Amino acid sequence: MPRKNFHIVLVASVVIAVFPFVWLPLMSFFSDWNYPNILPGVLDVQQWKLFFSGQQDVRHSFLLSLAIATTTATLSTAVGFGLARTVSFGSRRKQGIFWSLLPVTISPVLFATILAFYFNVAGISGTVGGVMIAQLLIAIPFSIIYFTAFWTPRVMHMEQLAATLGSTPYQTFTQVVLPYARPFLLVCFFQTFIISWFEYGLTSVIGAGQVQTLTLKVYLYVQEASPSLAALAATLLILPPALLLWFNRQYVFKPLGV
Amino acid sequence: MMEVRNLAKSYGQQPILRNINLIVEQGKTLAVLGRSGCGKTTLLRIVAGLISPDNGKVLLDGKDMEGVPTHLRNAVYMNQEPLLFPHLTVRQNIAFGLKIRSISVQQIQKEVSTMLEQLGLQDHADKWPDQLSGGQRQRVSFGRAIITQPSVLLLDEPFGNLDTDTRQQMQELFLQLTRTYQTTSLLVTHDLKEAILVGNETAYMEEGELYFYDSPAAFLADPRTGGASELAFWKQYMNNNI
Repeated sequence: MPRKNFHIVLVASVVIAVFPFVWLPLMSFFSDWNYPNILPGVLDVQQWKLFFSGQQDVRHSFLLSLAIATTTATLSTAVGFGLARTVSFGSRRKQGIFWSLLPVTISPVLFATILAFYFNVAGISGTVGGVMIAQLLIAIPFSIIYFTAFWTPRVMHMEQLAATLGSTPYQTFTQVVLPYARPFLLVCFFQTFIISWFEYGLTSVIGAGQVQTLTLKVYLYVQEASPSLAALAATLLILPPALLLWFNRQYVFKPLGV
Repeated sequence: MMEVRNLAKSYGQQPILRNINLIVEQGKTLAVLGRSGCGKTTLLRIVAGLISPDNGKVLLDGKDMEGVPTHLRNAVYMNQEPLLFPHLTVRQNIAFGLKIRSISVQQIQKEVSTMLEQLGLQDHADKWPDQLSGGQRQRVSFGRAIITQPSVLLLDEPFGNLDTDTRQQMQELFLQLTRTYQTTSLLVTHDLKEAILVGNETAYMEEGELYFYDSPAAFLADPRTGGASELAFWKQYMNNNI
């Protein structure tokens, strides 16, 4: 590719990548943009005022999404970490990985449709708990697959070495395995948080319209043709992942020299 | 002191260890020579408590180890790889075994400083494992094991990954440390020279059976150890070339 074209492609790629981070927050400050105007009308902080005063659904959705994603990420990281060890060091590693891959390979909406029947019977459809369980059914398998790359024979040998040095299983876990796994745990938490945070298909089917997460709200506002509210919700939607990305870069990848 | 009585282990129909009996006196090293797959590693792992025997007993300092978990045996198992804990510095790695025994900080600092000096690693104390050479990592690994004053040190071809010079230096360091700390050791290797240099006693393992020798000469003379053929080779080489 000629140098000039390369620069054009590079600049275009950067613009495309950065555009949503600039445009969406900007859009959230326009409260009046009606057809057929090409540009938005009034520039104000009305939506944000309402958000911070708590008079808007979007704030509730933001906090709800934050709670669901944090809980899902914490639980799936912890459970996946333990289960991946069993899968990796067990005699049926291949079967374990196969069954873990299964929910991840099915489309979330299809998976949700299958689950919906059982969730209805159990009476947890349309509840926050039901949505969380449904999301865990996706996030935990992801976490197991992710951590099978961590639980290598080398880690097993380190555990055994620590034991021969006199370390109890608890000491080995807290003083050898956990510190060694710290960057892996943080990355997995980040990934599963993102899975939960942006989850749409499962949440809309299992939530049955009763659990309005921020992702669902963005779609709702777009359908309602409320661009400023949609922009506000979308801005909030990209905020935690952006913060987590920065945190990972600062505290996970930098110390690793990545 | 370490003693093994009538130790046996099979995997399925395949016997790995057949009626092994051995005694290693306090402060001595038994070097076991054997080819890959002869059962050497299984023997070490059973003594360490990492796997269970089908039959037989392991006694450490006179105590029967049956049912005693690995962390209470005081038998340190060292692999071919140094396996330093990557999140700990050299000093912290060496201190690991003392720290988990809740020894006072002052005592740990004193013992670790002495060990660092003996290992010749004073200037590397605050480095991370990935900043060390292969030989330095193996030194730290030795220090970390010996500082805990184990009942027995189990060495599974610990110098196998090192170049010839470093290997020789490590063998000398091993002898010096085990003499200083009076460490009882069981070392398995497939290197004939190493077995003779490092072991106070030597044995040969084949198909799960252990053979002992009265002297290094008897060990070398046994055709199974390969000593005689090695000697013959060098003799012939010297005659032909020098």
